[in-house]
Amino acid sequence: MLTSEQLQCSVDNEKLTMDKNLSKRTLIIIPAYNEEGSIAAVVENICKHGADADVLVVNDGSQDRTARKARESGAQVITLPYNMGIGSAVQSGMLFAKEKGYDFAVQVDGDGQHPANEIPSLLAALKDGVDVAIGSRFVQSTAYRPPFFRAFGIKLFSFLVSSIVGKKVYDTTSGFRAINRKAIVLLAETYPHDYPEVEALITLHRNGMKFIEIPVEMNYRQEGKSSISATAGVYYMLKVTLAVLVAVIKRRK
Amino acid sequence: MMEIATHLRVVIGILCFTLVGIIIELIRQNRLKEHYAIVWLLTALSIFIFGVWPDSLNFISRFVQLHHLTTLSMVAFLFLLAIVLHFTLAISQLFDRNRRLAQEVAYLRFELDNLKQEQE
Repeated sequence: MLTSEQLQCSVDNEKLTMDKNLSKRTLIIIPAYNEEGSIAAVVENICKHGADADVLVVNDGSQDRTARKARESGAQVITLPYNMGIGSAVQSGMLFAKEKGYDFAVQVDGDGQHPANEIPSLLAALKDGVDVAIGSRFVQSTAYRPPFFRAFGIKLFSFLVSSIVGKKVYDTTSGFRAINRKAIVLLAETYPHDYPEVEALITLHRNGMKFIEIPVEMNYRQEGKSSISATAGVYYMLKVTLAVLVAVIKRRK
Repeated sequence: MMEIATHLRVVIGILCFTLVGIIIELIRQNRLKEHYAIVWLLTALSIFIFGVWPDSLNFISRFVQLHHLTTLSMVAFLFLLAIVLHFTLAISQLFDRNRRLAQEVAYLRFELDNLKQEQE
């Protein structure tokens, strides 16, 4: 059964999808792989805070009931035929946004660590001619204190990206981002595969997109574990570093 | 003149013919794309020529200062390297296409479900 609040959310979505001439349309993209435990709460939270945006859950070939839970809580759902990884899932969302003519897209994780109430401030940042707004943990001092190894990785990527972009970028691994139509079209065309956040920044920069960091306080996982384990951490750092260097020499799209 | 025994030439010749036979049979059974077969056939052909007429390899042998058989292995190795590179390129391309295809399928399925719902 749907609660009245959930119904409210779906009705809003329907109205927006039908009225194509409504000023600016926003799509919230939530990649989700086996998130049946948290996805409903995430979608409902976004419906509450994201006001007049459409919500799209990209079900990345989950084996559990992620798709059903998401649909029941008022999101539109596209289901990938098999598990393709976060990069491909997010890109599917971009493709959807591009095809449906959305003006803005916001990427939010399916595990609830990204604060839905900050979505409006990310979107507000886009209104001033910025192409990408990154919800960032490290611009101001937030409560988050990463473990040593992770802190090193964060510094390394920040250094790499900053020196390529020519402007200080603090939180390069944040997957909490809002982008405009120009960036949607670009990323629907080209988006990195695994561990995509850092590399995507370089792609955006190389194609002349401007980005800004907006300080946000993230909810750190009470349960479950990060998708990046300790051993995978080393591979993660090598892969991303290499990918960033390769992205610099790649031809522009 | 290269000092290569006749029986060795025969062995190399038979090996190459077997390889060519296997490749042709694989194409016939639709298990190998002609596109990839070409580089395999070239490999077999070059090993055959260099193996059975060692003189053809003499100039390379002299140049790299190796014995004939070692040079032959080197040439074969280089061909295999080319094949592997060729495969990696093919896999990369397939990966990209497969990814886009899966995304399009997901999108089309979404549209189809919507259409069906509208009709009902």
